[in-house]
Amino acid sequence: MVSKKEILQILQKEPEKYWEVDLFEREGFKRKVCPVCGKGFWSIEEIEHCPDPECGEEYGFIGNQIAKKMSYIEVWKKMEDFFIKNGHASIPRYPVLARWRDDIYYNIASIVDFQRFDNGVMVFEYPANPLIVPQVCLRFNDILNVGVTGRHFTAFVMPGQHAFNYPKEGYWKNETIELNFRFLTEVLKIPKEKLVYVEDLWTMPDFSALGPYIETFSLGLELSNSGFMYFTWKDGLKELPMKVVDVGWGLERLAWFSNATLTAYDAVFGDVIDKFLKKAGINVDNELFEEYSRLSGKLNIEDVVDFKAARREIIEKLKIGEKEFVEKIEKIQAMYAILDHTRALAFAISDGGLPSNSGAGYFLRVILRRALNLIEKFGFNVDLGEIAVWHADYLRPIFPELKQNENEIVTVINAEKKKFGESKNRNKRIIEVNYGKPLSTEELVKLYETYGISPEELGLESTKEFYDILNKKHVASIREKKESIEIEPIETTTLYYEPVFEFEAKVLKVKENYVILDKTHFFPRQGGQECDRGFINNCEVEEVIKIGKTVLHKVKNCNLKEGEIVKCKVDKERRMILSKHHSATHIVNYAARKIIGNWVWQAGSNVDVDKARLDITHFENLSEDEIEKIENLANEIVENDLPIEVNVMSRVEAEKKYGFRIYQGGAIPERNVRIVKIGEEVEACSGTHNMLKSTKEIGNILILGTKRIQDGVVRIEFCSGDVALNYLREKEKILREAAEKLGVREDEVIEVSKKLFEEWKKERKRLGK
Amino acid sequence: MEKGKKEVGKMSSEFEELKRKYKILKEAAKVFRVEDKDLPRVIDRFKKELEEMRKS
Repeated sequence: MVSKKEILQILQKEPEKYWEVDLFEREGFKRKVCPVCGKGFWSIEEIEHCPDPECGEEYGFIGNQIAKKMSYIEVWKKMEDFFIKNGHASIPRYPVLARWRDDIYYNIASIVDFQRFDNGVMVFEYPANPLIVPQVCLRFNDILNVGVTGRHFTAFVMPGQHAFNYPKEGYWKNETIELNFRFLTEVLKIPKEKLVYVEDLWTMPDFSALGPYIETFSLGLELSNSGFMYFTWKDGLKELPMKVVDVGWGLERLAWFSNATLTAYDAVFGDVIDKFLKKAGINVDNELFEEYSRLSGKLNIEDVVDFKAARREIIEKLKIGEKEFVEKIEKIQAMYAILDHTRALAFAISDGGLPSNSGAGYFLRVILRRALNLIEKFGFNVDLGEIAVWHADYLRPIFPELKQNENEIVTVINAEKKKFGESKNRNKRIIEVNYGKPLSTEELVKLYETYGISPEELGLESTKEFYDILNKKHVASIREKKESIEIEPIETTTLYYEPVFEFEAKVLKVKENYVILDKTHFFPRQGGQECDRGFINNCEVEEVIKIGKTVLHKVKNCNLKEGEIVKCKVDKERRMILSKHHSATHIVNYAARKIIGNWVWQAGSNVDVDKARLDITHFENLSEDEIEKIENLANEIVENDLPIEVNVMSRVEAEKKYGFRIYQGGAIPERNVRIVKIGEEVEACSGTHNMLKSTKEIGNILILGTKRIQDGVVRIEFCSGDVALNYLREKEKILREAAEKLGVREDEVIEVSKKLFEEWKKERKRLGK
Repeated sequence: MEKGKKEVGKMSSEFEELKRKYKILKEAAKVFRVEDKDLPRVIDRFKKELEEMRKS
């Protein structure tokens, strides 16, 4: 397997071909090679090594303002204007939860917005070309650095500048660096002599796409990365037919550079910092903090071997005591971390995320609890919900959705806060027993996963290793295990969306009890909907599954022969019930979201003939009142007789038209999606909804019960139509029987039952039982 | 939701009536803290026990 270094060396043989752009010669940039890292770099000023901090460069912009001073909000607004004027479309950000992908939980870079899988191959699907997007990204691999180093965030905005499909459309290196240079010098007003362009290599982890990478630095700070997807590696460099420009800007860095503040947080959080300081009654020792800021890079958890020793060293250099360091430095660091974590939570909850003990929600719980622990540790008189509202106010000009979803953000934060409090009370004894004990990282991870007890609650510091183990565990579980039966891939012509229930087909393959036909009207189990049943000749079909493009029919007592023409019959009644229950599932999902809150998202579903179940993301079980409201709203939709529309369209068109709520059932691994629209509820779904024309055909929906099946997930069971009526008729029989036993009318059963029970109790008491 | 033609059909009225009765059944079952399907049997048992207790 080739390494990144080896590929870089190949490209470095022809730097003028891969990295040089016309602008360099025109503006007087000269190429040099860094004596430390060996990378090429382009600068106007004579500098000895490249501006990478690892090669010895230090931040020269702190307190040295050379760019135009602009607020965080202004930087984006000016950037957006600049790129629109230069032919780009400005598109709204995509959600921070990457629902359109099944390999990552969170959006980690702007290019993720446009990456999709098409039968296992990564493709780009984009709503405009070229474009710019203020993409909010979440990364949880540097949690301990947040607040400490002055530049790490869990939530950050990566303005993505993208041009696709070059040379047919878009643009390439010359235009990219020209725009880069012009934005930095004309809008941010950075003197061109202070810009340095560094050569590097951009690659996908599997080298399926790679190419030159030009990093833009000024006074030691990396402001943007321009990646050019040029090649793929298949026993050597092979040029990609469709080339993509992927420029990731750092809005936090641009604002920091523009303001030349001590930390990036001071430039990014705007008036939220002032509000926090005022509410918490903190006075910042600016002089001391400035001195500390120069040394803070030494506490980067990625590089430091012994964090405690590095911290001690800094305290000595600052010539202050431990107590003063905690009070004047760590207190401010804690504030920055709380502000960052709350901002990340606000974006995630606004996009439908919910803290929980597994999956994507796990990371949200980690930062939420870390923020609560820091509030408690430093005795800050602040509330996380209140801070989220401050962020929503400040970010409103760019992200108005935070303000729109403010109530939901606060509700979820408060619910989670309550849970944390309850867990602390419940775990009091365990905390007492383990407090201050020198526990191993594995033991700490076990305590966190079993009881939700964080190292801080035990009087210990969280370590990088602790977070690394947790992160790995949760990221590793992202891809679900898929059903697999070893069978040769034979493409079946699928006709199950046609309303045909009797057909003839040819048997192509028989393996044990599995039969592959040349074509089929049998619907396989998919999208949460149970499969069709019926007969192939006289063999009963008990299961139908689809693997890749092959549909397998599992039959009882198989006597079918390969090559034979068979008569097939699909159980129509079963199909109709499944179609009704599946459509009811979409309606219940919609009704639950409307009644409970925006964080309600489908966590799973199963549609069967006796009932359907829908698992939704919610932090507590539903009350009787909520259940009734959901059922009533669902039935209102049924009675309004809304059309059930099914259309196949491209993913990119569907996302543009309906947003990312369409991915209720998860990512769709194909370019075209089947969109099911029932009133306002629109989902990408493979179910047989087209069997029904309108909601009235579903029949009334009856919620049978709800229960909390795991942390953050509530299961709703329901049925509809004749199944619901038959269920209720059975109940009616029971009520009639009970009334007969009591010798009263049905309406009197409750009252008379109470009377019977009271008399029974009285008699027992009389007899001393 | 988009507003369509609002028309509460026959099935809906039956559904509503059956739901009303189901609520009665569930409430009555709650009195004895049993599942609704067991209500007739439990009523029988309580009646019998009450009769026997009254005799003694």
